[in-house]
Amino acid sequence: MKTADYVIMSSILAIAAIFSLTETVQTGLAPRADLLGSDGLPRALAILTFLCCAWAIGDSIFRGKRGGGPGAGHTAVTAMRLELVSFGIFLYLLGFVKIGFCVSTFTFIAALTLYLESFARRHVPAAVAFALTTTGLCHYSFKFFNLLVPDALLF
Amino acid sequence: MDVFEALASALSWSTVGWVCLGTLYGLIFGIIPGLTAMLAVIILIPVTYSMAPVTGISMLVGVYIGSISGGLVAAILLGMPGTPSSITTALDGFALTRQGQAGRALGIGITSNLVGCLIGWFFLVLGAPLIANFAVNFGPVEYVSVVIFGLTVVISLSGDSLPKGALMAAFGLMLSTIGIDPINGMARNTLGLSFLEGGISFVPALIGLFVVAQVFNELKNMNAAHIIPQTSVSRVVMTWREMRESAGNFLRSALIGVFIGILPGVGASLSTFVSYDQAKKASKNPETFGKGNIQGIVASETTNNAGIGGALIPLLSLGIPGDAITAALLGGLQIHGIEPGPLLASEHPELISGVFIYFLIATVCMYLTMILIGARVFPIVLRVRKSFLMPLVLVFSLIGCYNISYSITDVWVSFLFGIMGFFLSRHGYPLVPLVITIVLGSMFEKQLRTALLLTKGSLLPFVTTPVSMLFLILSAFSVYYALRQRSGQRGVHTP
Repeated sequence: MKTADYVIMSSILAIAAIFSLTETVQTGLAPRADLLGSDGLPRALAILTFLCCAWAIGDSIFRGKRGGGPGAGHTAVTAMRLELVSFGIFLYLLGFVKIGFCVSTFTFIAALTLYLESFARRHVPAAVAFALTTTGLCHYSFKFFNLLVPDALLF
Repeated sequence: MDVFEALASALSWSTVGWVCLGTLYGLIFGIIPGLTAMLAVIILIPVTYSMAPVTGISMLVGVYIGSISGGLVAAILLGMPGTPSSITTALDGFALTRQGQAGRALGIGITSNLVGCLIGWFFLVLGAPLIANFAVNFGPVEYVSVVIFGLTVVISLSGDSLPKGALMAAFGLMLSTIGIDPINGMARNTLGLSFLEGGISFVPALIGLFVVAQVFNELKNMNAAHIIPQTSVSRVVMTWREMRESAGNFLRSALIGVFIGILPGVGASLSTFVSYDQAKKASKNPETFGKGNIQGIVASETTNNAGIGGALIPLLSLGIPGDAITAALLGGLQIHGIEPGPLLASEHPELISGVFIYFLIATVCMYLTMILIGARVFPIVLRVRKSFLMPLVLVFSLIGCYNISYSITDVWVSFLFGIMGFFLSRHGYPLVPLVITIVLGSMFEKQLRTALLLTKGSLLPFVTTPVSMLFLILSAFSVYYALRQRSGQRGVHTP
């Protein structure tokens, strides 16, 4: 098993442990008529999750490397690209709550398009024009279809 | 007045126009990831207020058909199913797109939509009262058994690693316990955070796992400038041979779609997974599923659309909505002053006749639009460079998330699930079991605990009630057959 598998399983088990140990607000002294109560199923699922992890580890040990997935190492460029795009989406989500939909969408589309285009093709006016057009299209189509966007808080 | 006279009297050209418009509107919503069928229906309900009841309701039915049918476009061309019912379409449809057969995949999906709609319509028109009575007899005990049967598909949809699939299923069930306890109404597993009290809604989770994560997957390799390779759109119509080979699959999938679609509260997602699973089990080459086997697309899309007719059966016969979308349609009926219920057919026969005939018209409109224009145009139009397409997809899908319950929490959930889904799929953890259990988890717990309350903690009714016993036996067979198939495949592959 790869390190990533242990990290993923540990994370899931940690969540299972938190859920199984969380105290639920009790509803008095009434007995659990449905056998399970509020925390019955989460605890059962925590045990099930633990058993599945043990099964996966045992399967890996006894059957050899199986189902490892295509997760070959990323190149540094790919990893940086994914991190930057994730950060960009994070900023975008903050942006359309704090600043407003149109400004943040325009900035996001322009920045992401420019970043993703190869260096040879990076054409700033084209990207800006694309971002403007798309933002306008989104704005008017959302209005037409009565789709709401979050109101800006403007800090 | 006989049936044909009633149908003819319900036909009005202006209504035909509105129904076609509604179908096209629904198709747009279905095509864009993040914009769901329910959203499409809800937004249009106030617009139908000024129309005659038959026109308004028929238009909403057209929207329903269009939006369910449109989901296959993004699933097949981009590998991004925008609705739960398109997840299994993406498994084989996107694989065919990668092989340069996007047009063919779309054509098969569209034809399956047509067949599913027609079979669902047939049951709606001829068998509605009988089938509705069958659905009404389903209590919590039967529902638990149906969901257990649905959960067995996790085995065959776990990809290469069954333990990882089981782990994802358990994880999904755990996530479904976050929020308000369905029986006691107390907050549970929320860690004191108020935004978790609403639980993890499955549509944002789905969009995160299958749209946002897919965007990250595509960004891994920017050497390929387009998602869709060069593809031929000259052959989009299913050949007669393919239709003959798919006949059994059409019928089986449609029956699954109708009979699960009529169960109130279960929805199309379960029927899609069950249908795909059954098609895989019935196939001589189950190992080709997920790699471009057209029977996977046939099963998924036929079931989706047959489920529309199924979901309308309890609504029109008994006034009980079959799924969330028909619940919105129920609101549409009430806006026109029509009380749905067992007397609907006798008090408003023109409405029933109208729905029957315009359902058919919407189906034909959907098919002609998609097969003549959609299947030939979309693979070309969407063959845009990734650097332009990905930002658009992200914006639309995240805004679609927001419009589910107008909560920014859903958007953040979608983003987090996107990151999680990317890492999980990268390391061989299948995402379909995770989604299945997030979708079914809360319903399973609610029905299970309600059943235990009714039976006073006894498990005996689960095996003594005929319908429950039937589904438990089917579940056991499903597990046995799936495990046998997996060990057979392993025998083939292991030297």
